[in-house]
Amino acid sequence: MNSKRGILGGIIATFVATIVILIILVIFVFASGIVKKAAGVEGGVKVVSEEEIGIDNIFGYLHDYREFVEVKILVRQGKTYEDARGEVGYGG
Amino acid sequence: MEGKKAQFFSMYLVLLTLLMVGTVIGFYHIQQKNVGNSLVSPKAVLDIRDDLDAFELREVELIKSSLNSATGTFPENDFIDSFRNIFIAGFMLDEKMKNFILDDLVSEEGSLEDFQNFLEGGLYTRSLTKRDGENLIFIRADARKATLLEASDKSKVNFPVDFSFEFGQEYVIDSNFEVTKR
Repeated sequence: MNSKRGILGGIIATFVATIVILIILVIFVFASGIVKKAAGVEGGVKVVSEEEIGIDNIFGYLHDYREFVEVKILVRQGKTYEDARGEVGYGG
Repeated sequence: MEGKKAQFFSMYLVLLTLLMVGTVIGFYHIQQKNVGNSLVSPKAVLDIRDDLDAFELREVELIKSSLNSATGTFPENDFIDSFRNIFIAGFMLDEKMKNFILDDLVSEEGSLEDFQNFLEGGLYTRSLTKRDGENLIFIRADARKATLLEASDKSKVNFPVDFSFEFGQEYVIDSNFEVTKR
């Protein structure tokens, strides 16, 4: 009788353990999806921003370059470089 | 006793699964730390190009003012010598022009000890200023800058870039003192 109970207990314990393992794996799969989404992974590829790889200062350059072009235009119109630079506020 | 063994085995399977899931998460975190890259920004290259443009704008202004102050007959030797002296003197007074030339400049050892001599005998050497018919040719000799460009975050995977930049310029000056780049 005890032996039958033991076998039944074993079967129930294995069944419960299988359910728990399934739940753990399902949570793992769904959580990994959430982690990937949070990390910005799209189609298996993580798209990094300019800031993350350290080249975001290029956007500041575009602003400086616009000012420099204005300086060049003023110089072509006859102003001295220093006067044009002062008028535009260009730092270079 | 055998029933208890089976229950422990079930628990063991659950713990093993948790351990494997934990291992995968751990590897993921370690991998994320190692795959971070930091690139060399192209801004330094663009900046040096703009600095050269700004230098040349100042240079053309200095050429024009030196031409206007020079004495002698254009484009004879006496005029050339007068023009060159005024130009070199003006260059020596302009800190921004001097700094642009000197920054990261590749030069022979000792050649920059006397900067005026470097200008007169190297960068704007006399033989490079010459008459061409009714025009005057004024040449700035080729100079080379070299530097190592590095990524902003060196704790990440990064690749320094050896950067070198060679520049020179030739100007044609006509009798109306119009300066054009060739």
